[in-house]
Amino acid sequence: VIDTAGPAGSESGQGSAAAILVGTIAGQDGHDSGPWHPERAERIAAVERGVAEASVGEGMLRLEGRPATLDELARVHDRRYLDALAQLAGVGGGDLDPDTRMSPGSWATAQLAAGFGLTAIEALEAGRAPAAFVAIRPPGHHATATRAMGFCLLNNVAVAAAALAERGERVVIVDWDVHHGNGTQDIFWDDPRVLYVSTHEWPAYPGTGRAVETGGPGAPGTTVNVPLPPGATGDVALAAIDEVVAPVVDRFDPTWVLISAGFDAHRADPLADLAWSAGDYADLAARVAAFAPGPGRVVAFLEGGYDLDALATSVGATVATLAGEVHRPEAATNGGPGREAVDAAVAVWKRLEET
Amino acid sequence: MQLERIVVGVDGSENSLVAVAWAAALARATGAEVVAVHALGLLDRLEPEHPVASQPHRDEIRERFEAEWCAPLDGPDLRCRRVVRDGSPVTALLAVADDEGADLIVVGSRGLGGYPEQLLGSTSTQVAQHAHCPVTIVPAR
Repeated sequence: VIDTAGPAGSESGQGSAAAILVGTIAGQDGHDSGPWHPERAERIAAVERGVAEASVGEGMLRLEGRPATLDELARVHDRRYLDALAQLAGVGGGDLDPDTRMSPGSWATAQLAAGFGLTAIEALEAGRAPAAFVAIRPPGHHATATRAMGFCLLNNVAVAAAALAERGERVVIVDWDVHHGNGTQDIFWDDPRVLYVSTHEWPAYPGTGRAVETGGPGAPGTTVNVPLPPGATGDVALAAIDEVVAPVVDRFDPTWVLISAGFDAHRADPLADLAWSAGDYADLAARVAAFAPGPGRVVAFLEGGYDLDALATSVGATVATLAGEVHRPEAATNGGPGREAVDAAVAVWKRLEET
Repeated sequence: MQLERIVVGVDGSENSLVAVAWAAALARATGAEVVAVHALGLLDRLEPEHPVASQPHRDEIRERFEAEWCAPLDGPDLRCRRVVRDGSPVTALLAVADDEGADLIVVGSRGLGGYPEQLLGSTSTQVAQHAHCPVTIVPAR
């Protein structure tokens, strides 16, 4: 469990420890997918509201971001793809797929979003706090090395994971967004330095993330998928973490924990059908943060989450938990379907270990 | 050369209807089976200017796809199946074509238009670049 016993309230000085770092992307309304689009600038205001309600107060240190450089992005993205995105924004933007649109400000916003995780890592390594949450958009986990899709342009969490892996760190990415992070899985599919873990609704977009998808030939057993049926509640998600994910993470022995923190598995979300609550996100955050080897090695990245009130309460619960506080605006949920899905994933991993 | 199975991409647009009609005519002339594919994204355009979240409208989208967007496939003299697949249009079309052992993929030409297409490739050009079988790109009328 991360140590959150640092002195809160004295965070302004270099090297002093806050309870949590929170970074909120500035100028993000420059990425505009259209007036009807669910992935919208108001989401960040909702995150701000949720963080304020979490009352982390003086224990919170604000994090300023910086744009990721082309070299930092090119660790995970094809340079021709990056050039094309930059050029497209330069001529006013356009549709990249039926879900994903660029506006003139999208490239700069995406670069800043992708750089925020790198800034968070630097601040954590400087001992500023035990954990960080970066409220960024556009989200990233659907973006592949060469393709934008599913509202995502640059794979923010992958950019951070690749930077860490290059330095010899062992990184686990836990993706609790309701949609499978096909882009992140694809980028690290054959990379033994990064363990990718996802819980997600099934069947649903983007159609990947079956339990039998467990990593490429060069990195067997470094991808973990637990697809869950519509209506699955938080107790099922916790069972997936405890019974499927935790043993794999223990063997992998990560030095860093990155979270693709989407909040669209909340029961109020308009894009999906899982039935989690803010309280479930508190429980999940505690479980996942405990995968870290010690304080200062956890960064959570905002992914999806499209009901503004659900986003606010769920982010608040997550941020408070990562800061070592108790804030549960909603009770945890249980009793939904999905036990069989967890059992099926356990069976996949049992077979994998026997071979 | 045998043409046994034609996979056609369907998105409900006017251009897609033209492509489906073209695939249907070819299938009737050759005796091939048509597999019509609709990719379910995060959003779907049940009405052109009113995107909706796909997941809660899965059944409605499937019904519209099967009844309206595939209308040119109706009739007794054509073997066809209708497949809904989660994912991006490019990925879904290529995956179904591989799974079905398609001899031909048919798509409408109307990409998203302008610079995105030139820089990153429209659905049709990306399918053509990555397909394992011939691809026919059908222009809008």
